Amino acid sequence: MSKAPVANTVNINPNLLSFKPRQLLLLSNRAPAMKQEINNTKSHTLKPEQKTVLLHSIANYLENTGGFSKTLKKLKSEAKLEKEDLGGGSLIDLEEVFCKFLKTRDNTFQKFESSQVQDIQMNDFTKKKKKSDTDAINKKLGAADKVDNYESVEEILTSDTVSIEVKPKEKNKKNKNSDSHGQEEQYSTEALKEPADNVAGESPDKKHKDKKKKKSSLESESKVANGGQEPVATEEKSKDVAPSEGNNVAVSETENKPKDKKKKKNKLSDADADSNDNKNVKSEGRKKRKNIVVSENMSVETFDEGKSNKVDSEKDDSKNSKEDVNDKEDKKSKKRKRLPSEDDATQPADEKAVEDSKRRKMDSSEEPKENGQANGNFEKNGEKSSVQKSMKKEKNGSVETGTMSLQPKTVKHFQRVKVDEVVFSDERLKDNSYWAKAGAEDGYGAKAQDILGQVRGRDFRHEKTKKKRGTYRGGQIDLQSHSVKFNYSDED
Amino acid sequence: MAPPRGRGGSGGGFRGGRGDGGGRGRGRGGFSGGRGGGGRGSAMKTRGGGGRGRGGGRGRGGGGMRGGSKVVVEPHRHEGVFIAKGKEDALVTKNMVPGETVYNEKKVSVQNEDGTKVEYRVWNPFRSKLAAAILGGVDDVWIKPGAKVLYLGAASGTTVSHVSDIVGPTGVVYAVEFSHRSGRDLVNMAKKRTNVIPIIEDARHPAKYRMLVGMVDVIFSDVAQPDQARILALNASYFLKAGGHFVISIKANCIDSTVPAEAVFESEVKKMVQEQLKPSEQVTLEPFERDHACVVGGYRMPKKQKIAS
Repeated sequence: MSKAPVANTVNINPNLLSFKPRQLLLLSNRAPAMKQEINNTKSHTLKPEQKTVLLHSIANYLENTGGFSKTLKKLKSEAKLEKEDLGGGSLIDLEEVFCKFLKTRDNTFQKFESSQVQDIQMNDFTKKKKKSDTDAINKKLGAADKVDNYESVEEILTSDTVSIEVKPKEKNKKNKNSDSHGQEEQYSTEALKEPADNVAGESPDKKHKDKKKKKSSLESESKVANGGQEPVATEEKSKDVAPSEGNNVAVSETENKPKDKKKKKNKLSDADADSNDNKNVKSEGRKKRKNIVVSENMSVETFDEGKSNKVDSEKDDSKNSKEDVNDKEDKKSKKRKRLPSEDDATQPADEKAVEDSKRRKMDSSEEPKENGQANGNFEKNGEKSSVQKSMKKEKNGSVETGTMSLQPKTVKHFQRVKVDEVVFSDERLKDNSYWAKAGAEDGYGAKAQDILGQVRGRDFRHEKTKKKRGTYRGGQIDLQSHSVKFNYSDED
Repeated sequence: MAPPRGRGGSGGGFRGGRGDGGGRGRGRGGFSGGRGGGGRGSAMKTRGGGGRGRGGGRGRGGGGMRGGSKVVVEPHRHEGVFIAKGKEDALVTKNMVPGETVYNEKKVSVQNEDGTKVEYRVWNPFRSKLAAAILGGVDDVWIKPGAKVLYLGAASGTTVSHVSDIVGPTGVVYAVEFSHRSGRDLVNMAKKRTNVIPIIEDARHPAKYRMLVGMVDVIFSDVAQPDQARILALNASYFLKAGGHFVISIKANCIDSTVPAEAVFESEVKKMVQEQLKPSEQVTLEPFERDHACVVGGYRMPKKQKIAS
C-alpha cells in the first residue's frame, strides 16, 4: 500500500496548524502506528489536528443525539477530550455531512465499495486487540471517520457493521455455549446466516454483493473471535449461565428429536431477536435493560413452573431431591445471572431462557417431566449422550411415576395373617394382655406388669434386663390353671 | 469342685472375652463362664484365682437363699417343678448337677430330714418361656420326670438345663439349635448334664438329625420363625409319638408385626389344627414376654377321640 499522507494534509486549514497543544503532539506521536495501520489502505490520512476536530465532532454528534452516554464517556476518556477543547465553531455537523453524502453516494458507491470492505476487515483486525464492545465501537467510529471523502457514509456503514459485529459476538457466545454442550451447532450456524439476511432487509440501499462479502467476513470473524480475544470474559459468563443453558439445550434437544419444527421455531425466534438487535442497536443500552427485566421475569416464571412441577408430578423421593438440587442450582444460576446480566454475554442466554419459557408454555403436557429430567440431566453433563440417557430415564421415570401413582391406590402390604379372616374361638383370646388373664391382680407377674406395662421399645428391654438378673420378687405363686382351653372335639 | 470364685479367676481369662462379645442369642451372658470352670478348677487354683471375679452376684450364689432367710421348697402342680417359699416365692427346679450353675442363677439348698442336702436352682421366668408359661398358669406342660423331650430352639441352654432338671436322669432332652455361637454354650452345658443331647442343626430339616433322636413324648418349640407351626408339625411327624404333646411359644412379631398379636395367635392355632396338632390350651406369657403366647396341645390323640366318640 502506498503511503501518501503528506499530500492530503496540505488542504487543511492553517488556523488549526498554528496552535498545537502539547497533548495533541503527544497524541500524534503515539498514534501513528495505529493510524497508519488503519489508513494505509487508502491514500487519505488526517493530521492529528484534523483528527481532534473529527473526534470532537463525533463527540458532539453523540451528545446531540443522546442515548449514547456511555459511548460518549468512553470516547471522551479514550480520546482524552476535554470540554474546553470543544470549540463549537470548528466542529463539523456530521448529520449534515451525512445527508449531503447520501445524495452523492449513488454515484460514487462503486468506487468506495472495495475499500470499505477492506476497512471493515481492518477494523476487525484491530478489534481483536480491544476488550469491550463499546471500545471497539468507538474506535471503529473514529477510524471510519478518519476517511476524508466519505466520512458520513463511512459512519453509516460502520455503524451498520457495528450492529452486525455486535450480533455475531452474541452469536459467538451462543456458539460457544452450544459448542461446549456439543449441540445446537447446526441451528446456531443457520441462525448466523439469518441475521445477515435481516441485515439485508434493513439496509435495502446496498447491493447484495456487498452483503455476501460481509457475510463471509462476519462468519470468518466469528470463527476468529471464538478462539480469539473474548473467551476470558465470555467463558466465565457462560459458566455462570451454564445451568439454565443446559436446561435450554436439553429441552431443545429433546424437542429437536421428535420434530424439526421446533428447531425452526427456535431459529425464527432467534432471528427475531437478532432483528430486534439490529433495530435497536442505537438504543442498545436501554434494550439490554429491557431484556434483563424480561428475562428476570421469565426466570421467575420458570422457577415457579419448576415448583409446580414438583407438586404436580408425583415422583420418587430421589427424583424429588434431584429436582430440589436442580431448583437450587437454578436459583443460584439466576442469582448469578442477575448480577452479570448487564454484560452482553448473558443477554443471549436470557433471550434463550425467555424463548424456552415461551415454548414450555406452549407445550402443555410433557413439559414438567422434561423440565425436571433436563435439569437432572445437565447436572451430569450437558452432552448429547447424557441427554439420550435422560430420554431413557424419562421413559423410566414416567413408568415409575405411573407405578407410583398406581401404588398408593392398590397398596398391599405383605401380611402373613389376614386380620379379617381371623375368627376367635374364645372371647378371652381376643386380649393377650396380662390383666385380661384370670387371677392377674395378685398373681406372680403383677408387679412385673406394673413396670413393664409402662414402657415400650428400648425402655422395655432395659427393664426386662433388670428383671433377668434374678432380683425379681413377685409374691406368691398360685397353683391354679389360668390358661384358655380349646375344645376341638366336635371338629375331629 | 471349686466354688465359683476360683473358676471365675481363670474362666474370666478365657471365657470372659467371649461373654463380652455378647454373641449369645438371648443375652444369657455369664452362663457359659459358669459352666466352663469345672474342668479347669485345679488349674485356676494354681494360678491363685487372680484377675476378675465377677462380683457380688456370684459370691452370694453359694448361699442361695434370698439373703439367708428360711426357705421351704414345695412341689409345684407340675411334676419336677418346685416352689421355693420364703419371704417371696420363686420357681425352682432340682439341680441335677449340684454345685453347678448354668447362667449364674441363684441356688437354693435345702437339708432334708435325713440330713441329705438337695440343691435347687431358681428358674427365672424372664429368661425362660417355659417358666413364664408355668407361672402364667398353664394346665399341663407334659414335661415330667422320665419324659423324653425334643427341644427346638435350645439357644444357650438355659431353659434346657431346667428341662433337664425336670426330666431327671431317666429322661432325655434333645436340644436342637442351629446357631453355632449359642450352640457352643449349649454343648458346654450338655457336657455336665448327661440327659441332654445337643444337636446343632436346623430344625427345619429333622431328617438331618433323625439318627440322633428317638421317639419323644413332648416337643417344646421356641424357634420364633414365621413357619414355626410347620417346623413343629414336621418334627412331630418324625419324632413325636402318637398321643404325645407339644408346647409351643409363639412370638407374634416374628410372624406378622403388622397385625394384632391375638390375631396371629389365632391363625397359628388354626395352622396347628390343620397339621394334626390339636391345641388344648393357650396362655399369655405377659408380663414376662411381650406379645407372646404359649400353646399346649396333643398330637394324634387316638384314645381321647375314642372317648369322645
